[in-house]
Amino acid sequence: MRSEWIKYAATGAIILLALVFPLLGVKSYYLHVAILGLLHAILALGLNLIAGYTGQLSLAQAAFFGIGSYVSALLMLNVKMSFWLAAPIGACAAALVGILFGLPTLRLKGPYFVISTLGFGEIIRLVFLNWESVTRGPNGLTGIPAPDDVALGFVTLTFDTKTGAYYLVLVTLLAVLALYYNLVYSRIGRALRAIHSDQIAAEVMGINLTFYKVFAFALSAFLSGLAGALYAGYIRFISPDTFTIGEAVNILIMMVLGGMGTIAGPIIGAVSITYLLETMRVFADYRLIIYGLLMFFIILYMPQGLVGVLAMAKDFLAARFPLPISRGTDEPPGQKGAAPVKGEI
Amino acid sequence: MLQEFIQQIVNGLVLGSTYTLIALGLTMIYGILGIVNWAHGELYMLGAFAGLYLAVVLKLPFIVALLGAMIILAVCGMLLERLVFRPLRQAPELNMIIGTLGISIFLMNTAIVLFSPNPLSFPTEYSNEYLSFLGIAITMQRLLVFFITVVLIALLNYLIKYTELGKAMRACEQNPDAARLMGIDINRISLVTCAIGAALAAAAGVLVGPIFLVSPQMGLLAIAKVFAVVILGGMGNVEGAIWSAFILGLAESLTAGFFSSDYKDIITFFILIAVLIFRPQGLFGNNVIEKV
Amino acid sequence: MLLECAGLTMRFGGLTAVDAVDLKLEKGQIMGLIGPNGSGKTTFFNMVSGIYKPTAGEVRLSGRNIAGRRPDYVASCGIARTFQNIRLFSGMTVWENVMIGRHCRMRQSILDDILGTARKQAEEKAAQEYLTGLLTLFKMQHMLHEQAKNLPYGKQRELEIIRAMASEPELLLLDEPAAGMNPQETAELIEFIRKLRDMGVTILVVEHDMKLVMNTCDRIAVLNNGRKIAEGSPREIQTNEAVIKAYLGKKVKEGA
Repeated sequence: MRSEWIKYAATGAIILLALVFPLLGVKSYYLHVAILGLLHAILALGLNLIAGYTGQLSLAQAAFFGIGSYVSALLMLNVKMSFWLAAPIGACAAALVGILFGLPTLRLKGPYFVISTLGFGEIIRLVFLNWESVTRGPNGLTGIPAPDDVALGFVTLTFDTKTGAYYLVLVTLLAVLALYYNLVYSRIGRALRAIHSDQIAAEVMGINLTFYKVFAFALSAFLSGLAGALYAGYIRFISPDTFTIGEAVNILIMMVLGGMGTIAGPIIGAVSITYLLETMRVFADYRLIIYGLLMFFIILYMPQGLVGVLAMAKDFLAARFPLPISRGTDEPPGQKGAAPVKGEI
Repeated sequence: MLQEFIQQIVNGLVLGSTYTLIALGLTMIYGILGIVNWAHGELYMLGAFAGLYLAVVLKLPFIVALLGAMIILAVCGMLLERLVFRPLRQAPELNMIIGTLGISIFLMNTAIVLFSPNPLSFPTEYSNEYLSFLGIAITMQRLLVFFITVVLIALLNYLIKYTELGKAMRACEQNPDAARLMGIDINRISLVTCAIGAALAAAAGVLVGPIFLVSPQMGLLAIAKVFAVVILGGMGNVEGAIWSAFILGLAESLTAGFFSSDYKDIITFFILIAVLIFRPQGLFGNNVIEKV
Repeated sequence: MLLECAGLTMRFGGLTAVDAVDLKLEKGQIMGLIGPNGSGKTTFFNMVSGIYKPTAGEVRLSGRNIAGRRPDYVASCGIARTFQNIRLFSGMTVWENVMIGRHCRMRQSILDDILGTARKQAEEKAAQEYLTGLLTLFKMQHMLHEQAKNLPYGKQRELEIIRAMASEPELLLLDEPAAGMNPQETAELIEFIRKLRDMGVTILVVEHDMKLVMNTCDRIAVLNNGRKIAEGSPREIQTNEAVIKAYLGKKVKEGA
């Protein structure tokens, strides 16, 4: 279909632009903003898995972000572990905490989960702040090393520059996206959306509610932890101030504005809001006032956020400029992989 | 030791009273509208600012300021019902949460711009009056918090149990569809519920504002604890909310007094998670079976 | 025996909703479960499908006791059901609904799904083949991309049954499938259930619509106040004194 082509062409163009971005001679500051934007995209994709798809809002994402950061940074600082080993361990630590916390709280139907994530996020922040012998309290951890160089025979990749960090984060995000896409358009993705839609009906279809909810939550914690490890390796200094409820709310706004329950939405939301956040500091005071209202109106009138707007634009374009190629609507299922399951990007 | 203990008990009662007043509105709105109001902490915060303005700027007597703030916030509660809750009522649960959370962020940051993020002190005519008891001095303000909370609970209890309005509210809580068929105007009951809930939260703000400080962020700090109270008492359970508010208030102040104030916030959340593991229906709730 | 319930009991506080009910169902049979409102039919269903944990008693499916097990386990054992008040995944398409219905018959692992392995592709393809056949049989193959909530009421009821059938269940529980239907839709539903019978599906159906029950069921069990008061062929039930008395001597109601 024509509108599918518009989607694929746009996706390809964006990935290409992202790949050549550091080569365009942009100011180092904008590269920094881009790195933060991509890191937030991983965070927002993580939240989207448990909230956008499974329907269970988590306000603990900043805490998992922090756990990934602290665990990987402490491993690098205290046992001189390489970043390449410390980062996955940090992400797994976040996932493990997610499982332990999710098991009792996700078992229940109703608003219990989201409420306890608020308290949980606060507990983790207090641990970072008060467990001074390990976390050095409010002073945070300094002197975190950059990821080690990787020798590929003919070329050696370094990561202590902004460009190096940018490509590390970008490649991680693309790898995450590939697996994320598979997951969303598979039996797991369908099960998560079924839980979002009606837990009792989903259960009667043979979907183990606790298992899938905890699985989605653990994976979302893993992604947040991964973003945390990358963040620690890039910024080299972490403190409890970064991992607050305010940060959790930022991640939430990115997901909602971009479009929850979609793959492109959290990325669009994360990149655009990070850009606004960093470049329009003049409006810092009014920023959250506007975001709060936006969140309410988007949820009420445009639950698919910017992606919903883009989808409308795409359909409009496709209708205005029809191509004389076969329209291929209503293909029987089975012809083209998972064709019938695709709703939106 | 004994004095310290009594001091912490008094603190616990003050905290418990605050939590009670905020939790009552929250649990009533959940019971009747089916909405978890994330902006409820902001009603408490706005109530404190309204009281501060009436008492300190307009120099009205404290009790008059208290009543004034409750009336102002009752109106805010009705606006909230009309502009926020009613449009959200048919939305999925996730959207309700995100919607009211958005309103909470909006209100808190509007307050930061209007009143500055710095905490303000709220002196009243009762702040410097002390009552001596077993060798310890308690400010009248602290006693007042407890006393007025008891009065408000008694009034609310009378309203719910013995008036036509209260009966209609209970009917809506039990079964909104049946209540509508019996000729109860659900929209009116929702408005009244939100007005009462907001007024109670405002009372909490005005009562403890003078003891702690008044700041735009106070709502956020309180709401997390109050959620714990509401879950502990059983979602939608008014009586349970009162008991668990005092249990948590006392647990918190005794922890602060005898262990470390670093842990006082953590204890609440540990209790919350323990309850979710062992008694998810709350300490005072019955096992509710979902209708299929 | 495909299904054997023995002494199945459910108490809510002081109220006994279902009181020591015995029920046996042979493979390929269609059994109707009728009774006045509040007689415990839906509660009975909820116990068999795992939503309620019975206070006492056994539910045996092909000899295996499944009483008190979670709904997802019961589903994977081969019991599928529909709901009195339709519970489709309303914002999802017809196709997604039936694919979810097939969830417990798909054998790929989580890693297969995330990595998109050949095994996943094969499982998805097998599911698509089966479901396309099923949807074609029930004449819904042209509405695959329609959102469930946009279907006409009668079609939503049918989709819910097809979704239950997607898992190729041993036993299908239908909870008031004709509720809210007009006579035309009910007639179509009767055809639909007969088709299921021809496929050899074992069905337990709760229904108020006597036309549907009398026209489709091989046997009928009657509940009143949580107890089974009669069981037999449709003809026997129509003349059973206890049944007539339970319905207060009224002419047996049509519609509901």
